[in-house]
Amino acid sequence: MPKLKLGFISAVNERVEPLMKGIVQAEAIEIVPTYSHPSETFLRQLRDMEFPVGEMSMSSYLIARERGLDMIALPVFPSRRLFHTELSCHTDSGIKKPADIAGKRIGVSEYQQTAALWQRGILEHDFGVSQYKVHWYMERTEELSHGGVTGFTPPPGISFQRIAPEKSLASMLVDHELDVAAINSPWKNAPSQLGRSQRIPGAGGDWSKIKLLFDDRIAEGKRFFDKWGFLPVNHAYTIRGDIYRKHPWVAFNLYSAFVKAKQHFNAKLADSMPSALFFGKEYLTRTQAMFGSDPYTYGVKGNRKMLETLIDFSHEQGLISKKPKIEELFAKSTLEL
Amino acid sequence: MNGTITVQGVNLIPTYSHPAETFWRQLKFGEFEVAEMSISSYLIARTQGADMIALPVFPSRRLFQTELSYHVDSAIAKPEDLAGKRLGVAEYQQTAALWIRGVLEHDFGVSQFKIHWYMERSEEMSHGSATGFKPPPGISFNRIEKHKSLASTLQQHELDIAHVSSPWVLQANTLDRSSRIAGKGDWSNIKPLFPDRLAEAARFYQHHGFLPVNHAYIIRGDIYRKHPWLAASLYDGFLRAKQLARERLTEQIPAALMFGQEYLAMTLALIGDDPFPYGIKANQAMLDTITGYSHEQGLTPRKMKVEELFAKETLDS
Repeated sequence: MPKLKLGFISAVNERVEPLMKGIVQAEAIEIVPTYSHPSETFLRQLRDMEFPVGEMSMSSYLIARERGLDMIALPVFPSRRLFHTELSCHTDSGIKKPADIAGKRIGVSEYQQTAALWQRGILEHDFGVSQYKVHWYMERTEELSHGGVTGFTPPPGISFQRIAPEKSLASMLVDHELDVAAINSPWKNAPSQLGRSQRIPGAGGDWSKIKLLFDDRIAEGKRFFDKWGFLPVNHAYTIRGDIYRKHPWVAFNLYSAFVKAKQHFNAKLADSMPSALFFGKEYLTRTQAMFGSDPYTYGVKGNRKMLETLIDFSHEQGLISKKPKIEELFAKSTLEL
Repeated sequence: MNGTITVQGVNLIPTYSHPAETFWRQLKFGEFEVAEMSISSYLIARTQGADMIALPVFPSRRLFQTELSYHVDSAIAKPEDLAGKRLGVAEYQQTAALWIRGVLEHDFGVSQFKIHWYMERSEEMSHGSATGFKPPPGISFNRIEKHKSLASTLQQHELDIAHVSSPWVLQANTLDRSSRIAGKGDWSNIKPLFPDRLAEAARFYQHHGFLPVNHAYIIRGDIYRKHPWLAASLYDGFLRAKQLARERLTEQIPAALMFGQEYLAMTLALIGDDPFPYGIKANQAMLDTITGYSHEQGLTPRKMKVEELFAKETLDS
C-alpha cells in the first residue's frame, strides 16, 4: 500500500517514541523522523518550515499564527511540566518565598518561550508578583531565538535585558548577577545551538548558594493542580499548511497515531521504571494519586481550561494583540476530540 | 551487553535470557563462558564441586520479603502471623526464598520449620534438579501441582501467601507457570504483606546495612584457568558499565513521574548513595549473612568462606 512520506521533527518523548520508532504507525503515513532539541526544532520550523510535521512551542505558535504563519496544530500535548518549580535562586538574593521575587532579576532562556509564559502567569496570578515588577533577562541572542523569527520586541512597560554573549543563565546566577533563573529544566544537559548554559557553566561560582525556589516541588505541584485542574503544557505538534490543504486527512490520522503511541507507552509505564529507583511503582502511584492516571490529556475538549489560560496569559503579557479562538488553532477534524 | 562499554581483550557475545532459564541452563549444561548466576544455587553447586568462579558483581538487589502477597482470608495481618501458614515460592532453593526465610526468622521470629512451604517449579525444570535438591530435614515441603501456579493457588486460597509480586511475574519463561496459568485473575483478595514497602525498606536497611542481593556473575572454570586475566578485566568492565548507568539514571526515569529527581533523592536518602555496591569489602556483611542463612537453612553442609567463592584477582576489591 502506498503511503504518504512525511518528514517529522521532535525531541525524544516517551509518549511519542512508539510513533517515531515505528512501533505504532499512522494510517497511510510513513514518518521520516528527525530527533532534535526543541529550541532548534522551533527555530527551524518558525523560520524555514523545513518539516511537514513538527513539534512546536505553544507560545511561539500563538504569536506566529497572529502574524500569518501557515501551520495548523494538533491537540497533542506530549510534555507537561511545573515550570515555576524549575526556578532556582541565589541564596544571597534574600528570596525566601515566591512573593520575594518582586524587584529581582530573573533570567530565562527566551522571553516568549512557553516555560517563561507560565512562570510569569503563575507568579502573577498565584503569588502576586507583577510581571512589571521583575527585571527580565534573556539568554538567547536575537539571531538565534524564536523571537528573532517572530519579530519579538519587549512588551511595553517590561524591564527587559539581554545576557551578554560571553555569559549564560548558569554563569550569571552563580555569580549572583541574576537573583533567579530557570536553569533546572530536563534539557539542561542537552546542548543546543541556542542555549549557552551548557557551554558557559560559570567558572568559579559557588553552586551551594543556588537553591530551588520551591524546596518541596511535590507540594507545590499538588497545590497548583488542585487549584487549576491541569498541568502546564509547552509543546504541541503542527502540520505545515501546504500539506494540510493537500491532504486534510493527515490531521486526524496523525492524531489517532499520537493517541495510540501514548497508550502504548502508558501500558508499559509501570514496568519501565529503572530498578535503581527501587520503589518506582510506589512513586508512580503517588504521582497518579495527585494528577490522575493520565495527566497527559490529548484533544481540545479535555484541554479547554489549559488552552484558555495559556491564551489569556499570552494576551495579558502582551505577546499577542488579540485572543484567538481555540477553534482557529487546531485542525478542524480534531476539534471534537 | 550492548557494547557501549567494552572489556579489554574480550569480544562479548551477549544472550539475553530470563534468570530462571539462565541458571537452569548454566547449572545443568554449563553452556556459557560467562553468566549471571543465582547466589544461593552457586553456594550449593560449589559445595558439590561445580567448576565455576564468581565475580563480586551484584547487579540486582531487591527487598524480597516485601514482594510477598497474602490472601485476605488467611488471617495474616503482620509477618509474625505467618507461623503455621502455607507459603509459596517459585523454587525452594532460589536466593529470593533464602532471603525470605532468613528475614522472617531473624527479623520477625517466624521459624522456617513452622511454615508449610510450597514450590512451583517441577523437579525437572528447576535449579534444584541440577544440584540434587532434597527438602532439608524437618521442613514441611510440598510441590504445587503441574496444572496450577503460584498465582492460581493463591487466588484460590490454596496458599495463604506467595512470592508473586516480583518484577518477573508477567514475563513468561519455561520454568515458571504464573504468567501462563494466571488463575481467574481476581486479585482483589490479594494484598501485599508489607503495605508500606518504603517503611519496611528503611527498617531493613537500618537494621542490616545492606540490600539483599540475588545474583552475581560467574566465569566457567575451564575459561578462568586458561585466561585468569578475565576476572579482573570483566570486573573492571562491570564497574564502568554501572558507572555509566548511574550517570544516565536521571534521564531513564519516565517524565510521567513528574518528580523523578525528588523520588530518586528519596530512594537514596533511604538506602544510601550507591545501593548497588560491587566488590568484596563493601559486601562483607551481605555475604556473611547469605552464607550464614544458606547453612542454617540446610542448603549447604557448611558455611562457605568468601575467599573460596570469588576469583582471587577480585578479593581485594
